[in-house]
Amino acid sequence: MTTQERIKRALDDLATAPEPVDLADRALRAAGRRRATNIGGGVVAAGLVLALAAVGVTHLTGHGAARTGGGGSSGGPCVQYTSGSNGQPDVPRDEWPDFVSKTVAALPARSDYSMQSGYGWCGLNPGMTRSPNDGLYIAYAVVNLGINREAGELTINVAIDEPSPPRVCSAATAAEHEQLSVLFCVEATSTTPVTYALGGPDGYARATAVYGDGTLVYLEYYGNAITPQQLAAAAADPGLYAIIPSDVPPVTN
Amino acid sequence: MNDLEAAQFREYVTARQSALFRSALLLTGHRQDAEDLLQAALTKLAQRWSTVRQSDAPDAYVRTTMYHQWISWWRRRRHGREYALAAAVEGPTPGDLGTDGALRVALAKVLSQLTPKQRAVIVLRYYEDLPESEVARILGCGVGTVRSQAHRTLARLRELCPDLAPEKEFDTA
Repeated sequence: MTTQERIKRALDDLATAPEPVDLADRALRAAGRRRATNIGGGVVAAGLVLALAAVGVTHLTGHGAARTGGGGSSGGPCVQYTSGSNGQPDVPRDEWPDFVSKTVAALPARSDYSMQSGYGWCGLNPGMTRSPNDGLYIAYAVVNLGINREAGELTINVAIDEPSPPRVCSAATAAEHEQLSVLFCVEATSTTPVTYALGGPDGYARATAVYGDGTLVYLEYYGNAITPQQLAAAAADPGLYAIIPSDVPPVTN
Repeated sequence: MNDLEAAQFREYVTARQSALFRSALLLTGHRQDAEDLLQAALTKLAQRWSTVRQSDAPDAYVRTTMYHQWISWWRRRRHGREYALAAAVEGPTPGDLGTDGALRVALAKVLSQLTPKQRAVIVLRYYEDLPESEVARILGCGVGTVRSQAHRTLARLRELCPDLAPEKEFDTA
């Protein structure tokens, strides 16, 4: 056996895992949903600026939040959450981590939020080094709206210790790219973060809240059940910010 | 998409999902990320099925979409989650295992230390057996970049697994 064949066999061994099910139908349902979203996209975009004034600013102003941290100033332990355990199709709601519960509570009320997977509060993995230009991403979750994402999919990302957090909208949005357009931005106050939303193709929206202490929360959503304004309000939710730890130790094996 | 096209799409996914999922798993190193990545790529394929099916190259479309999507996601998330593959590294060291087992452990360790693009080079080149020119086309880089990335990764692999033969054994198609 040649070296190339040995590497291929080793890679093949590494790629062994139970296959997901129902991929074709899930893709077909999601594709149909995104088409519907695109048709309505122009109407939604036209009302964004006015809606920001009504929803975003009202929500953000005057909601200063004390940072208590997830279990103190130092978060942890690192916990992973996966669907499929105990025969469950998703992570049971009573096992959701706080950052998922807080985020979902700040979004429009629905009964079909379903956590697929995630982790928190996790520092660097063993053997990994951190880029000096980036914050430390300590929590992440995939939350489906409907068990088969019938109403979309949401990801939650939390980072701390951003090296140079932008303090004004012009700086925050200048760094964004990837074929996304800036939908709106709300300047920071003494107690609230810079908060902005980006839109992309296929019903994609991303809302980011950047705090002066280097904490960053961004939410991504595909679908048409949550507006960018609602997404931004959840990203900047004071209750969510209050539980984010200021420090997270590295993951140990 | 009409009923016939939907049936053809289901037939394609059923036939190819196992291979595509394995590629996604190698690329991400994380089962949930792999599922998410493949799901996103198949959703895009479903949206363009009528066109892509006629080109007779849905595999190439899914593969390209997956690799670009993963690099994009990784840039945004910037937090390497390697639990699924790295778990293999937590056990015996390479020296404790037979040669194939040692190679597998070494590979898992090396993969966990690569950037997504470097990782994509290895998976496309050595798992999917694509020629360097095709790898370069998919990743949107030069053949020289593919060659140098592969060379560096293999050099690291040899440090961890010294019994690997010299690089002259490798084809450079």
